[in-house]
Amino acid sequence: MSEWFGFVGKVLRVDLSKGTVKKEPLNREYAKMFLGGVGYAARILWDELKPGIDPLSPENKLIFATGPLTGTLCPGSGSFSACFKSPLTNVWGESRCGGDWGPELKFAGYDFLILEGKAEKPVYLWICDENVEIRSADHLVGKTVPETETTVKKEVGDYECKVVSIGPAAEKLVRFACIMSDYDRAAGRCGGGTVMASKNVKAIAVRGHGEIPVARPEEFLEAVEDAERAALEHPDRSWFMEGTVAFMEFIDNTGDLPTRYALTNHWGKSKKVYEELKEKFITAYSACFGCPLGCGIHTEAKMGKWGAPMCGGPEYETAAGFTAASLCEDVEALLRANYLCNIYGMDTISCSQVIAFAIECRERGWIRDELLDGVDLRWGNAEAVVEMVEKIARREGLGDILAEGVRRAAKIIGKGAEELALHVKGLEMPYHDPRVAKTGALQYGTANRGMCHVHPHETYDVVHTPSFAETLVPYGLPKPPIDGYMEKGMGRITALVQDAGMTTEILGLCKFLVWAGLSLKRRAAILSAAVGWDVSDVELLKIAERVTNLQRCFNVREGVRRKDDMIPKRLREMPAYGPFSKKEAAIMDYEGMLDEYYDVRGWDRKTGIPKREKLEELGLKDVADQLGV
Amino acid sequence: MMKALAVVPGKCRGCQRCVLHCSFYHNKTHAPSKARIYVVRRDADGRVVNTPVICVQCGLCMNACPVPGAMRRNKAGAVVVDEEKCTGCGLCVMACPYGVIQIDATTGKAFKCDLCGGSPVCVEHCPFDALVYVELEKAAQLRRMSTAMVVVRHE
Repeated sequence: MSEWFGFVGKVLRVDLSKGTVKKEPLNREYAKMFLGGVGYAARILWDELKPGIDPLSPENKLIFATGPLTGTLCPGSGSFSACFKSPLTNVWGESRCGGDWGPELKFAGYDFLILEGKAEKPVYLWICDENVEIRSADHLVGKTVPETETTVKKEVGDYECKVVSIGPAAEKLVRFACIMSDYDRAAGRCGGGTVMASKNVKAIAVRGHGEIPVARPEEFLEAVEDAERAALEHPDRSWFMEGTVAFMEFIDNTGDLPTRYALTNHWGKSKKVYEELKEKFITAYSACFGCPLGCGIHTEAKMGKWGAPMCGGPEYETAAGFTAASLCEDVEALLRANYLCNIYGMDTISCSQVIAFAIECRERGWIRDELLDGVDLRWGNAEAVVEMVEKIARREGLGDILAEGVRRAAKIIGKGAEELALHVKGLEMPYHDPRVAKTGALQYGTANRGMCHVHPHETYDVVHTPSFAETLVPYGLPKPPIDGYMEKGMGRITALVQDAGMTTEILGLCKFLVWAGLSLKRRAAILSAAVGWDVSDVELLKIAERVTNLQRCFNVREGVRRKDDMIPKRLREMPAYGPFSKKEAAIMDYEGMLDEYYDVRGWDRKTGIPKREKLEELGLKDVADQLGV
Repeated sequence: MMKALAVVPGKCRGCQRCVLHCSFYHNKTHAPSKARIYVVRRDADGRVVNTPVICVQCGLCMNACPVPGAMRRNKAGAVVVDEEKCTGCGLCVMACPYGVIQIDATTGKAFKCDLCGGSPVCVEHCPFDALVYVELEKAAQLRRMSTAMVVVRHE
């Protein structure tokens, strides 16, 4: 057997229909071509999924993917990505999660865990090194995420094991249910939890006593210590240490905060919300495995009308979603909504988005009162927002419609709702505004998992954070400052920033380290010393481009074309009010930006399909053949 | 001047870089199960704990060891295991009130914190200043604080 470094060399495959467990060797050719994480996983799903399948059928597969640096000393190594065909979008679905679970899977000896088929009855998995058990989860049905995790840990008799689980929202097949990990960390987006529920898997507990060796230990340690120093000395580190919610005021002030269902992009009340949150409710800080930034916060609201037991978050996205999006200023309501999403296991972005959407639909008279069950959905009514979170998790009344995600909900509601719905490819809009940083518009349009700010990367941030933009100048990014209102040239910038960001996902790292000194060169140096084959920064970008194209081909095979890369009308228009409501904040020529992006990508302008030359250049000839381009 | 390892209460965020560096220093690989420092993330009911658990070099393991010369103190004051002599009987594990000495599953020998001979890598690499290697008086003060916090939490 050949030896592996960085990677641990094994894929664990569990066929839930048959109740069988297989351990397969990792494919070295694929590992070199795509690295790990969402890269290698894209190849598995390309090879093994039939196009057009129902994402909630046993034919879908759910992959838990780590990368060659997951679990290592490389800063930010506490990640795994869940990859699957999404029940929300019907296209490529991926969601990254921090915490400790990904590293633990590797210490148990596996780079990837593939779940396929469907268990006859609810089960949970107990993976302890070589031993893999499929256990009954009948008694866990309907239990919240914390109840499930605590019970599973007690049952397996190891309180240091790591658990991913789904909550009641996933069991109800809410289409944006999360896979939760370490109580309150989430692979949140795209409905991975819903897929896990469709397979009747309630939880996966992992314990590993093994090791992750590296090929060249001295060189590896040297590269790691260099990156460590860079992170510790980085001026923005102190900001990360306050939690992502501490960014909210900056985001608000730069016109990056979608407000009132993105009618505008500035709220003006973030400072007050954050200060109250910090002063009264933050009780602890927490880092993911291997992270020197430690951006996790825990909050608790003991008193007041809401009450929220101690739990993780809110992150910035959650805070923006349950305040600015629906114009609510009640911090305790935000904490309650965050807590409910955590215990029921729902994506806070999609959940807060469908609620803000519903508020606007109701204001326009498109929602019948009897659907509301007395919930007074209107702008600024925090109580109604919290009630809707519960109703969505339980699929009651209007909640049952919203649980379908905004695209399907808009279709059911009808009238003008479909034009109003903010999504791309069926994924709800997150909380960054593309009108002040038009790279963000292309990112929203072209990200393979749909309307996402972060996968492959936060492209808008080259506008807002010049120090981040500076790191990509050696690879062709124009020298900052970059004018966010500019449209020409954004195609090239977006593609470059996306590829640079993709590298973290295929290495198994958190993106935040990219803002704290973990440059492409450092990533490449650590990777090379870990795996034992040399990969330069430029080669790393090429691998990332290959992965982006492979995922795109997956989407093309599912029917994605140019029209699916459009962004909603509201976001192409000038913000309706506020200090950023000016002409240049309208997106004049999105189609032109898309043309430029396609040209840079080597995709056909008319269809958005990658051209054969591009795929062959990337070593994906077999993919081009199968796709018939 | 003798120094001792101590935890600064309330600083740890649970990143486990100390654990990784410990195993990398001693084993040249990433093997948390062989690290000589521990991080507890949550209690059994899921409440956030996030604290390192360290060996305080009290010597109870050495007192319990039945093999002459299998354990001794090094120059830094750490109790260290002589792998040649250790029989892996486990009496040291039984004696340790902190759960910070274990028998290595592959070698069958006891392993524990040796203070890296006097410059602990966990302290050097802790990103949150949660671990210190300081003069005895200061270390004693920090340990009193940790002990008191445990007492308070249980009351």
